[in-house]
Amino acid sequence: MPDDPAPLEPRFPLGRFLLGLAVIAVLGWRYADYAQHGVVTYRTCAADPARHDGQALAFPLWEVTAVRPDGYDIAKVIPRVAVVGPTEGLEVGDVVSVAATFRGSDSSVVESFRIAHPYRRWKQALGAVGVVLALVFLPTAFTVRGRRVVERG
Amino acid sequence: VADLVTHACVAFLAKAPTARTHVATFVAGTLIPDLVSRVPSSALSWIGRTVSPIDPTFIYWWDVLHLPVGMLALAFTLAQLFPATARRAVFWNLLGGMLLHLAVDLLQSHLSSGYLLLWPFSTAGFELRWMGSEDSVFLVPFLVPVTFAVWRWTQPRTGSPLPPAPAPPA
Repeated sequence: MPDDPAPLEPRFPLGRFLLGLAVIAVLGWRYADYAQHGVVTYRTCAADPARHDGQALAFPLWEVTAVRPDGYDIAKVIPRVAVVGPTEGLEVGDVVSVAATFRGSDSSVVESFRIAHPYRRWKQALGAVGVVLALVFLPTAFTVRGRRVVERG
Repeated sequence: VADLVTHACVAFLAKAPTARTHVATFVAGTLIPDLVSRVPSSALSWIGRTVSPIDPTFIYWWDVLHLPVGMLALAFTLAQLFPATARRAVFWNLLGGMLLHLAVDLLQSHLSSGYLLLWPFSTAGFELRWMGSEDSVFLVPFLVPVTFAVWRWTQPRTGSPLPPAPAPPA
């Protein structure tokens, strides 16, 4: 059976596979450390508010979780960041990118400017369609034969 | 991050004029960066703010798979799952698809410094800012039929044609 690699296939390269996983794991931890401590984030500022008063921060593509008379709350990796700024036309569930400065007195951020993303919901829906199609495509494009993954066809 | 429909279409368009070998692997390569980084980190972020707090380390961890160094490691690791005879071609097609994914993402504009292409050697961000991050929504209705048409009506490259057979003796 020429299309069945099992009889001629050497043993699974477990060492190289595990090495790859280990490298990915280490890279992931290093990147997570960099993302939290290598750059000044809201969390950095909130940990030492007096020192970081006036620090410029950016919040790209964050979701509005509450709208108040004097501002609004946004969330992404951090569950809640209070933003002081105009709220006209803003609704809970909107996605915005906010440039702001940190205010040490109450650990809020003061909006410098805001970019609305009115089509973000459409893009998220398109993304969900893409994920479903990908999850259909991958099992139909590949199969397991002789304990190896192979392309169908 | 452009959507996966756009990424898949671009992958098919890139493969259309080639010999069309390992198309599935190349397309999978363009889909994998978002499937293994954006999907889990978005899901964990959502769980973290609606169900139970999650240490940001577990949310940021996945993002490295959307950087060139993570893509390289992931393509190498996944290629080990394939038969030895196909492993090299699978690796290059996976990595090529992943880098094409990144190239498409680089066209976008975000309120950030951009993608850290050289991390961990450099933390300089880069993106071309030629289109908004939601512009692919307007592109997809045209891109999908164009991709179908190009794939259907172009022929795969088959190399140099064979010379004509000599005429039989009269």
